[in-house]
Amino acid sequence: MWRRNLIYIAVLLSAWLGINVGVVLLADCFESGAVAGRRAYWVAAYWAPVSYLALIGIYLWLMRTHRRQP
Amino acid sequence: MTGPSQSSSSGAFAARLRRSYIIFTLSFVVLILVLGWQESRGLPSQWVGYAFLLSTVCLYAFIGIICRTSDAREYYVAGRAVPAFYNGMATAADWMSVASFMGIAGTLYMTGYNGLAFVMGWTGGYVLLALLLAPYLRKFGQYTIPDFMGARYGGNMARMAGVLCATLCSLIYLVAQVYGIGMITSRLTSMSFELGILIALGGMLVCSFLGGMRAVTWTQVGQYIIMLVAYLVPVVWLSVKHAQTPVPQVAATRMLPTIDLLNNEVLRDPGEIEVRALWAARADAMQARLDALPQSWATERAKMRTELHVLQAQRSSWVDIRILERELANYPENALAARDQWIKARNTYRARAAPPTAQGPPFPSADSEARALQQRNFLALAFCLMLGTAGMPHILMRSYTTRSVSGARRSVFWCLFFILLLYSLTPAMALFVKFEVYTQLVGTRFDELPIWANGWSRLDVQLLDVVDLNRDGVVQLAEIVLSNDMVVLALADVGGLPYVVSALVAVGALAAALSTADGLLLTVSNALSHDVWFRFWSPSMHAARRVLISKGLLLLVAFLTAWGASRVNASILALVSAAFSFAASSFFPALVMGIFWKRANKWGAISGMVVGLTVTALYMSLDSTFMRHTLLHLPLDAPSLLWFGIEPIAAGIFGAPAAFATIVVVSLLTPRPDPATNALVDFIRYPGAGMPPSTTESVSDEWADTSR
Repeated sequence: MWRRNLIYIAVLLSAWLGINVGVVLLADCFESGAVAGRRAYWVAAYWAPVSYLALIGIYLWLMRTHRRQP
Repeated sequence: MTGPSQSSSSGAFAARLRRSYIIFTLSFVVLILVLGWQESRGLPSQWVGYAFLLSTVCLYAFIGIICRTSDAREYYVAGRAVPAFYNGMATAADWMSVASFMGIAGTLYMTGYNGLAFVMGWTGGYVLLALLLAPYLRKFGQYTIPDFMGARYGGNMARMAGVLCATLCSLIYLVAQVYGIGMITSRLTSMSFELGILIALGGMLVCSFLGGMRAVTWTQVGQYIIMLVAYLVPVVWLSVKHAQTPVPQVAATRMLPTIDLLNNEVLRDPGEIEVRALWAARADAMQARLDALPQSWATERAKMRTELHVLQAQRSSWVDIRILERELANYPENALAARDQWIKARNTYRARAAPPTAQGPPFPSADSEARALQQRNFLALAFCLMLGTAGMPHILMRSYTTRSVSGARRSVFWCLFFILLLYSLTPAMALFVKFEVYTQLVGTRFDELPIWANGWSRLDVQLLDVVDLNRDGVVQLAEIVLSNDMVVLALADVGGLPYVVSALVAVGALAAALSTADGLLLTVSNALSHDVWFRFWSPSMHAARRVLISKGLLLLVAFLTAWGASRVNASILALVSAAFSFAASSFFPALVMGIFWKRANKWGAISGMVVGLTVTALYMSLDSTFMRHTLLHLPLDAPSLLWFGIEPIAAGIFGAPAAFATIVVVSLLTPRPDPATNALVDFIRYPGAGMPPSTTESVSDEWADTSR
């Protein structure tokens, strides 16, 4: 049970780290429209914070599903 | 599991809460409409300000009175009965400090993309909180964060280290809030800064003093609603005005290219180029003085004295003589002080000579090295703020107030949701103000300046300063200095909205400052009363007496903070950033290791916190005169000491890894924790686990207290 929780946390934290570093390192690609045609400013201002909320939402869902399992 | 009767009673409670806050919201909207109507009929703006200030402060006090309590569980943790949705809303209000409410939009206005490090840092930390801390603290189920330190690491030494860290982080943050309260109330009512602080403190104290966490929680829910309305009204209004859409994010997306175009036009304007050249010349002159130190300190003073004698002999203008006399009176006492003062002046002139930052492009710089440095600083600041967010004691304490472990997780989700509702409006705010400044202020004649510009300049030139440097009678962008904190407060004025909207924004900022100040006050007073007085000095003290002592300490801390705020000489954002760095390098590593690594022990945790705080404090002071000259005996013109070019604002990024490493090394070198501590960690980790075997005095005491 604790092990599975650790796996969830590790996966979600990796995604969190990827988002943080990606927003900065891929800023030029976002700006030029090479990735998804979005401007870097909007990716950092709106999409990164919304993805944090999504990560917490996924964790809530995983833990609820986890608790219901026998 | 909740039984049928318990779940029906909690359902009725939730329905009552919903009804109460709908009535609260409608009443607030009616108040805005009535004051707006009265303003249109000629009510003076000062009266609108007083009406807003008094009605909201009285409202907070009213909630404090109806929620008053002497019960320890209610006073410290709101009876652990706050539904996740409302706990999330209260935590969001606790979180939305005056720096968040006013500072983020201002930073985005000034620095464009780079300012988004604050938005990402202050939201990304909630992932860490939800995944690594909140559910486990709730499972632990005590009153304060030092409580956790005391139980997990055993003994009073770890608890006292926790108290010291909680007090340090919270007090620095609290001073910034109270300073913000003084600034807002003086803006709202034109009363003095000190009187503004005292009146607002009164409202805040009635709430937290009488009802502790219970009153603070329900007040914070109301304060969040006020903040949301205060943000939404002007931003939606300006969004409709500029982009014909009520969705500010859409309007901002449409306006971003226009603003970058306006920025480029301004850069090509001959007047603008002339003014920037004048600022650059002043910066060069200041640099020449710095290069000639320490001789220049004496020669410059002699030059100024001679100039003064000449002016007096020629019977020149009285104003010119007074200006020079004042400059001489403020002349640095010695070469060291001159270095500090002249570096500041040189940097200010250089900043004003530099072209304005474009809003959209990331890390704008022609030089690839400078660009890489900006990227590094962005990442360092964002991570430092994230770790600090997860380690701030007043936010961690809110995990104790939910009904269950899953409630603590859901509460973090709702908290971030409510924070995002506000944060998603800040880029739009920054863009609207920038658009108005570029189109309404730049190019205006000095004798036709808008009333709001004169009003703000008169209040404080540090908030807004417009000076005709090239004496052409026309305002250039480089002749305007707009403070970070001004952007939100001036939003309604700049956009030409009625005064009632300006007052509404100020009341929202006041709600932000008060809600955070309340949470911080409780954190400090609870740590002192519960962890020092009760746990350390007088463990047999009755719960009611403990609450009484906490209330007394709350008063003391409030007045000490007010005194400190009236003497502080730093920007709100600088104080807040320091608090986050300290939290990132002290609490966060000790708490995370306490939950996820059973081998972590008392000596590791204490030394980790000490090392983390020391590294952070040292890095913050690395470039100060005291450190460079007095301690390190460096020459005045020695290069900067910063590591990897990371600014001291992100000092926690060095302190946190140092703390983690120290906890690991020292724990491995000292004895393992005892079995009771391991049982406690198991209890915290597993949602269904029962109480741990209480084999140590400290732990058994904690669990006995929980069961009461």
